[in-house]
Amino acid sequence: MSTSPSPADPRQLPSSAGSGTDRLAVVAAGGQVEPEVHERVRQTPAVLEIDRFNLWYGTKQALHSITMPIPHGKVTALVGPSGCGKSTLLRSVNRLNDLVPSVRITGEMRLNGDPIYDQRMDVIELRKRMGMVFQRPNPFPMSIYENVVYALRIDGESRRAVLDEVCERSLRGAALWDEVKDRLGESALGLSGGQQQRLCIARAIAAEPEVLLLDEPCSALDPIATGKVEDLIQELRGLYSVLIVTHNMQQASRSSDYTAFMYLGRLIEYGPTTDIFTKPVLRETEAYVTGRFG
Amino acid sequence: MNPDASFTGRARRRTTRPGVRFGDTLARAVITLGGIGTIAAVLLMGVFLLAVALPLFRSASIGGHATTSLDAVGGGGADAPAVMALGTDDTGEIAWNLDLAAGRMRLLDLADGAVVLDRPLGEAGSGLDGATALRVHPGSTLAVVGFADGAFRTATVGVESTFIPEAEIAADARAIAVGKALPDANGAVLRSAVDRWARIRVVTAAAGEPARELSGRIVDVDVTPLTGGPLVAAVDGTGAIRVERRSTKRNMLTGKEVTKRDGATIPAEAEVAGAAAAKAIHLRLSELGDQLWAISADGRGRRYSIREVDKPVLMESFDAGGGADVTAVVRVFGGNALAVGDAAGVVRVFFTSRQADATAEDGLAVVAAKTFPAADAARPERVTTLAASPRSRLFAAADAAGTVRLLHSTAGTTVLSVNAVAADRLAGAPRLLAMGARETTLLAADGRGIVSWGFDAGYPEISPGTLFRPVWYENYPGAVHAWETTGHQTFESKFGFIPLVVGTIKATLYAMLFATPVAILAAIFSSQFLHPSWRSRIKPVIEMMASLPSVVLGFMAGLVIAPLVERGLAPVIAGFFVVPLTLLLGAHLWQLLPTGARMRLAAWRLPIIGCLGLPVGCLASVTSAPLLERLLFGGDLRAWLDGRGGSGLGGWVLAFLPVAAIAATMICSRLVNPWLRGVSIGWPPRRAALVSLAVFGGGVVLTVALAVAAATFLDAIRLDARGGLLGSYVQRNAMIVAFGMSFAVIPLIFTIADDALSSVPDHLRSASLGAGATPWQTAIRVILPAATSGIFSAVMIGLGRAVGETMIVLMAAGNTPIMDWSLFSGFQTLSAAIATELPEAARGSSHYRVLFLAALTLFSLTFVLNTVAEIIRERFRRRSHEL
Ligand SMILES: Nc1ncnc2c1ncn2[C@@H]1O[C@H](COP(=O)(O)OP(=O)(O)OP(=O)(O)O)[C@@H](O)[C@H]1O
Ligand SMILES: [Mg+2]
Repeated sequence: MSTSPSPADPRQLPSSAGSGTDRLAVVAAGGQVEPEVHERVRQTPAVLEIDRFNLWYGTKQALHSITMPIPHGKVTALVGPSGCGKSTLLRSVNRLNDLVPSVRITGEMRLNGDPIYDQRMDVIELRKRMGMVFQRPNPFPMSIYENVVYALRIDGESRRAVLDEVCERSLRGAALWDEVKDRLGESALGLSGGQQQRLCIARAIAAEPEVLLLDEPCSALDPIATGKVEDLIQELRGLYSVLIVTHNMQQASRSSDYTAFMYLGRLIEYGPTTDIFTKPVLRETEAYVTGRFG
Repeated sequence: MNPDASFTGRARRRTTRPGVRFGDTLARAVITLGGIGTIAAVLLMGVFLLAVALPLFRSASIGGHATTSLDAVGGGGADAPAVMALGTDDTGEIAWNLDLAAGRMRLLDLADGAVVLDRPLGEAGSGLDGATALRVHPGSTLAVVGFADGAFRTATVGVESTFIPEAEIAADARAIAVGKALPDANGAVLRSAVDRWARIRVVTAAAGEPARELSGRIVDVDVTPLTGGPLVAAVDGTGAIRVERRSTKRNMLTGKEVTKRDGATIPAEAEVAGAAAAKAIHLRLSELGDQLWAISADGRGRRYSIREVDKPVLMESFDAGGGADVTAVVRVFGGNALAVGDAAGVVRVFFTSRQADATAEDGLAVVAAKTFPAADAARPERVTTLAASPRSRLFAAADAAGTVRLLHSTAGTTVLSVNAVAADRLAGAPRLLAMGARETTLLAADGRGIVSWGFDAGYPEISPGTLFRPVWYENYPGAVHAWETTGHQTFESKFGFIPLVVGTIKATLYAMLFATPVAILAAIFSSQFLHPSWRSRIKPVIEMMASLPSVVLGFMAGLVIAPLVERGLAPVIAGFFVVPLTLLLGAHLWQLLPTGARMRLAAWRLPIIGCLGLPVGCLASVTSAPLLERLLFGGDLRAWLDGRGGSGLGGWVLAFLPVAAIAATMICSRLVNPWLRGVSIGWPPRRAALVSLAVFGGGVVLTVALAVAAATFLDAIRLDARGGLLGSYVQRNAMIVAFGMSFAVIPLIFTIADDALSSVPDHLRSASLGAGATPWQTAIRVILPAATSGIFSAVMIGLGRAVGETMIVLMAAGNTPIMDWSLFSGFQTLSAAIATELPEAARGSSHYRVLFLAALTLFSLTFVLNTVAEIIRERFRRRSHEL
């Protein structure tokens, strides 16, 4: 009954300028397309290399031969319509997908050169090298303090001084210190949604990860909290390599250095954020980032 | 686009269909009714239990009295014991009174005190003339009479009542009013209150030859019926005692009956002989005829063993008076205890019991177990007479002021008290008391009158004191908590509740101690580690185990596991420690595997360690058991448990091992591990694993050392685990019950805990794992705290099941209401007591009502448990709602 074009209807899109073929239509039909990866991405040193990575949930393929380097010390944004596999990709990086029994993968990922999916890779150690923040704030049912120092606790750290120092540094890093410094012993569940999400970020950075994985960290937050988290990401830029999933184009353009556009499990275009948002190679990308589709 | 479609919603029906409304109302009504009905049913149950149990605590009541005035004839001084007997017939409506001093037999109607029959003994009493002492065995017509010339003989005295069949009722009997009696040739015909006719026949006849061994005037006699013939005893005014057993044999050839008399004469003691008249001796036989008690008026008591009646042996002398003169003695129902009243108004109950400081050669000593102070402490009056009930340990005591009290020898309480001396009652202090055959009438006589009361003693053997406090039962060495409700006819019932409550708590405690960790660990394993497809298969199987009939579990535990464990006790105990140790060792060895193999097999880690570790652990326990026995228990565990040989050390070592293990773990994680972390950075995994294995080994050694140290200390201060936590091994014991019950409880806790654990939001798990926690750390630090509410309710539901569990404890606990905390002793629970004893308890009896009280206790126990659990759970739940 709606008269507006279906978002997935590729016929409504202007045809691709680069190749002359409609890539999204090809993808929707199950075909393969070469992703458009900008040269500048290839030139930066990568903290994480994803190499022809495929992933299946049972028989359904969710990621199709993803090949992308994640630059070191930069913020990389993953954008794309809902269900295109962004979270799946993120969870593949720290092997959280291992928990899903039906998952099967091929291809490779390397973290600073170490093969992530190698049989000899210790998953626990791997995850200790990364921090992850999820779509929904998920503080543990314990005190604010214990939440922040959780990663140290599980490593067996019990020296109070070390814990105190890390706790304060991480909470300051997550711009939460001033709000909670008087109630560190209280349950983290008493915090507001935005505070909880910043607490989760503090928890992730307390372990000093090599890569920070943020899966739509602001989707459950109001604009003010979102602003704070965005400011935080700005501050983290340069300190950590950040991989962030977002649906908010402004957020992507404001706070990331590189942007990757995914569609139905494929990487479509990947380049510096300014290029993606101002002069994308593909017209599909332009359509998506300008909000004409998706 | 469909042009007819409208988005204004105007086309929509705005009314709810009546059918829907009706359904809604109906559903609400049904649900409300069901809910209220359930609550009402539970409440009703409680009310019903209460209604049956509550009469136990009803106080005794006494009804109106009836007085009969007798001709003031004969009968020595006021203090001399009346040569009189008093009793009621089986209906309890007619009292009989044999007055040998006046030579009369009387029947009284207890309803109004009217004299139904009053006739001289005449022919029937020919052999009883001039009697100076008379005693009728309570509950029968067997009597013994003593005479002034020192002779004494048995007799039959009392009434025999028989119901008259409808057809044989004479015309004049039919005319009797209900509750009245009419004298006839042999006694009377009674039309009882329940409108049946009974013939009451008076019997007074001397039987057998008089014994003439004594020469003085007989002052007291006693008799007890034994199989083969009565045992009689008499004491004369000089203090000489004659005891003899009469057995009648019939000569097969001549048909003549020959009465054999075996007995002995105990000469008077020198100092008693002199002052014989002033120091009249009370003589009593025990019901079983194995003891003879002689208590002189000055309070000196002697106990003779008369197991061989012709060779009485003086066992001991004891003080029966407590300083005052003894004025009355009665054998309490059961025949093992004597109630002794003295001139100071005090009544004491004596019986023999095994005492450490006993001087008698049979190891027994007479103890004054109960003391009833004078009725009026301010003005104590001499106890004039005592009478025992023919059917319970109730007895009556009268004092010189005329106060008649009903006392209970087990409970040690005064059941009721009434005054016998008043204008419309007796003129003087009662000289004779009697309790009716049905324990509903109390009679008191003073030689010139008889007064009777109807009374209802209630449940005198039950009081909060007898239920919940230690009671000194007959022939026990001291006051104890005991539950023992069935025995022979004159058995003293022991309604101490505490052993059952302790048994219930013990069963629950040990079962839960065993089941809770296992069930929760299993739930953690299945919800966090097990592959979902396996989980979906295993969980229903375990759930099915929860519905196994408990009689099957009880059978397995009591008849299969119990004998097995009994044979291999040492390996089983060793297994408790060795198997977990093997599994931990296995986990450490696993870390030594090459990294590649370890990672490849990571998913199979737990099954592999479990499948290899368990058999190895069992094998190790079997092989290490003899060593353990030799090291700790002097070579024989069972003998050690029985208290033979070995020091207390071994038991303490085992008891302290778990605590020591926790302490050692804490020391390691506090001191060793941080240091290790510092130095181990950069080590290859193999080296790290070896070092951690070494640390583990050190921890085990430390654990053992700590346990031994603690045990040595306790042993040095002479504490022994035997008698407390450990004790003699019986086949069916708390450990077996814990095993058996765990089969019922583990599945219950497991399923609920598993549900609780797996319903913890997945994002918490992801967050923890994403932070680099191991699944085990995640489970313990995040999942478990988040599921506390569910786990707690799981444990509570398990607890509820364990508390009320009946069949398993019935079959595996041995049903011996022993009160201790030993892991290896049997016990009985409230539920098992109810199940075994209720079918045989007479409806309305105290046993029956006490069992209902047990049910009520169980009911309130579970009620309180669940309420507390619910409150705590609510607190947890509020917190986990915020997740
Ligand atoms: N556990 C799972 N089992 C099966 N299929 C899954 C599972 N998780 C995700 N998928 C499927 O994989 C595809 C990619 O899902 P994913 O969550 O990665 O999308 P996304 O890009 O993060 O979407 P969104 O922006 O809505 O979060 C979807 O089609 C989804 O249905
Ligand atoms: Mg997502």
